[in-house]
Amino acid sequence: MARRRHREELARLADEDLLVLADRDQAAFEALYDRHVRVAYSLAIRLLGDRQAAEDLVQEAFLAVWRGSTKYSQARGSVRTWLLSIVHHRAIDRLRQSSAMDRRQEALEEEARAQRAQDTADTAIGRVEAQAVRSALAGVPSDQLEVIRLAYYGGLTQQEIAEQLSLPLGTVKSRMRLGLERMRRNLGGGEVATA
Amino acid sequence: MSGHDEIRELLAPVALGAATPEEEQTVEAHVRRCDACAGELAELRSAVGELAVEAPQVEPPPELRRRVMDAVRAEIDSRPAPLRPARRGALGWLRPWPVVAALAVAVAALIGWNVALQRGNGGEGRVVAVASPAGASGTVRFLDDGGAVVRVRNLPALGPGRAYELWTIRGGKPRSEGFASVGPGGEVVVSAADLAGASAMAITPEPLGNVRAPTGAQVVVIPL
Repeated sequence: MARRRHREELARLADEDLLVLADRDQAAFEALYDRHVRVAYSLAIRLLGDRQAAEDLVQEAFLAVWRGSTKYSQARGSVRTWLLSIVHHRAIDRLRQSSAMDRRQEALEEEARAQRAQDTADTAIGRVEAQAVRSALAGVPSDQLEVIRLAYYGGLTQQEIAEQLSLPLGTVKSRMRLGLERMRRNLGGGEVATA
Repeated sequence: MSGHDEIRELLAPVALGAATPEEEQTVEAHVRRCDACAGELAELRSAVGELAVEAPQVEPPPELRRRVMDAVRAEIDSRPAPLRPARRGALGWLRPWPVVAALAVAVAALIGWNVALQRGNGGEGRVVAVASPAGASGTVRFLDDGGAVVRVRNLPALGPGRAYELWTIRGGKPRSEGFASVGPGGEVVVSAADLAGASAMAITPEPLGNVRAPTGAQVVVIPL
């Protein structure tokens, strides 16, 4: 019973508080896991195109968060942002390491087919969140979005994007910066900058 | 290559993971010294993180949860003994808490908490305000079901692995009521489920996981 009460208390805590507790209190870490595993796993699958590899990566990322919990600083952004950036960073590293970039391309295409089936499995909350992001993206000019997506999902550097799109490097840089700044404003992170 | 404007140009590619390792290192070194760029990078990363929601959401398998938790447990078990969370009954003792047993001494030895400046009846239960010359202040709300919620602001931040812990004292013996970390504004909120038989509540800074007896200085003592 005390255990249930403890879990109810944990459910009211912010991610950052759970992380402080996570080093000594496994229930706090479990609460954090339950909150964010879905989006982390979905991102890993989207990037790697393989369920087993995605599971391994998510396990690795959560362990990295747990091990780093005592060193976490809010200056790095929210716990969720931190977790997702670990997933993203490591997935991109893997993609870049594997010489078979085309294998990834195949995987992405295959996964795009699977996605259409999975879309129906989206929960209502997932859909609302996804919709918020899509509308934030909708305000971003498509040439800027293209550059952002190639970087984020394709793991391409600015130089590689410039080559792939036959654009001057300077154009890629400015599209990336303007697009991302627009996204930040659309997602509500811009008030700080304008205040 | 460390001009402020040049660094700002790099924030977007770093946030997106599209920078070269050298560029990433340059930016990381810069944001350690520049709060403005650090803040901007954090916001850009947060926007980038939301791209993850754009990916079709897939339910992770339940085995993954077990695997992750097993891995965490294995790491806890392999830690050197002093870092392990206290195991129930490991030592079988419960130290009396002399300072609390002599509460008057305890209060004098504190960092100057003055209790019960005002009493009121807003909302559920009785509310007692507390304040200290050091600038911390807060309330204790005694709930109708016998519990209490203690809310204190302006408490000093604690280092990693530490949090404020609420104790109830019965017959000079402390009982842990739970931990709370310091939120914005130095705010700590902790609750006790049942005050029956308790002579005092106290809040101390403790290493997380310590539930046997207080070890830290008492920053709040509330005689009941």
